[in-house]
Amino acid sequence: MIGIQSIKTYTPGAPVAVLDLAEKETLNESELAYFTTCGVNTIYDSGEITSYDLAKGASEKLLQETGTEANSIDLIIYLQSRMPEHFISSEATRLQHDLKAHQALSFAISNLGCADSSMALKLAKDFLTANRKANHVLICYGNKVFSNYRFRNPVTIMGDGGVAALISKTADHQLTDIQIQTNGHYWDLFKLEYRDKSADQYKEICSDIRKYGFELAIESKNRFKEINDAILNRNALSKQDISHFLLQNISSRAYEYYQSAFDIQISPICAMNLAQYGHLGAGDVFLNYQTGMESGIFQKGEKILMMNNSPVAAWSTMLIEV
Amino acid sequence: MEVTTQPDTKVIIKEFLQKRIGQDISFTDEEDIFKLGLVNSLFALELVVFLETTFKISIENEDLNLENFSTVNNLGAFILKKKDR
Repeated sequence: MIGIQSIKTYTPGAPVAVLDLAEKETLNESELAYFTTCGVNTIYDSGEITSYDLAKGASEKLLQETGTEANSIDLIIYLQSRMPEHFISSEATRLQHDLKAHQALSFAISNLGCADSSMALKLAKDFLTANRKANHVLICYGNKVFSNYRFRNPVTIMGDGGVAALISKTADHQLTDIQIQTNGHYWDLFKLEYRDKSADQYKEICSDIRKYGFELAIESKNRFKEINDAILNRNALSKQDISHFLLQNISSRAYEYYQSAFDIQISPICAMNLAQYGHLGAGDVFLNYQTGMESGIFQKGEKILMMNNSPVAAWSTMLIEV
Repeated sequence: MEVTTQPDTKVIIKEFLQKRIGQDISFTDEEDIFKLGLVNSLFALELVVFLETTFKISIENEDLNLENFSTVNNLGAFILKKKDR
């Protein structure tokens, strides 16, 4: 059995109220209306701390708090930052070096946005299943905005933070099933033109708000219905067998949308973390699961359905048994 | 109620949209409803669920061309096409 042994989050710096962000003054009326009602109250601004440092900080915290020797890690899956610190060099192997995880194999996953974390969990599960002697996979990610713009209109507000998860051969928090789909039709729906700009001017742009608000929204409903039904059917479960539905942290509207579309209740953990941390990209689902694990909200034997998607576009659903 | 004629279909669609947009706002059958400030995912969901339940159709991913949904006329034509399949 393969499961999540531990998850740790690293959010250095003090929380900043989103209403105090300078970019608020640059928004037009409709952008401001969304900005102030999307469900994010504060974000962490890590200042000069980079996405790599956030991922490393979370990984070190996890190894220390779980008493895990770095040499016992068999595989490091580094979720590539959307804005890496350098071109060309490898943050995945840098992390292996800095952690002194000399026995590990390391590589990075990218290009699926928030769903990078789902692909990482799937690969970790498959790797541990296929390798009898392997015991530990470390997944880590740092979400860092180093421009003046944290607002991704009309989606969410980005925060800074690192997450790390240790996937092991354990009977706890079993990764029972993971399904992922992608559709290249939306590949450049969101993009950031970086050439001829300084980093503080970087701003994510939605190329077609109607396509996002209509086509992608409805396709996401259809895709999630398909993969949720597939996972439930092949595990002989019904919706009523699921104790907690989790989603990544985008907006209050997104929770409302999926609750309405599927007649389910998204766990309040998600809205709570959204309000406090903002959107942490591929780190959200780890943060939400960690909250459930450590708060005692998740009880042994319960089944969790964790949905995680990205406008690039990718959809994923993970079934986990506590 | 199952509706098969385009005029009736359009009347039903327009009634639904009028309620959502507001009774005091007038719009024609050719007017782009998304330009009336209704571009958000919750409205999209509401519209799709309304169309699926009222006209007993299933809206698939390949139907998700915004043109199909942008005007009362286009919605009427889309429903007819779906019901003919």
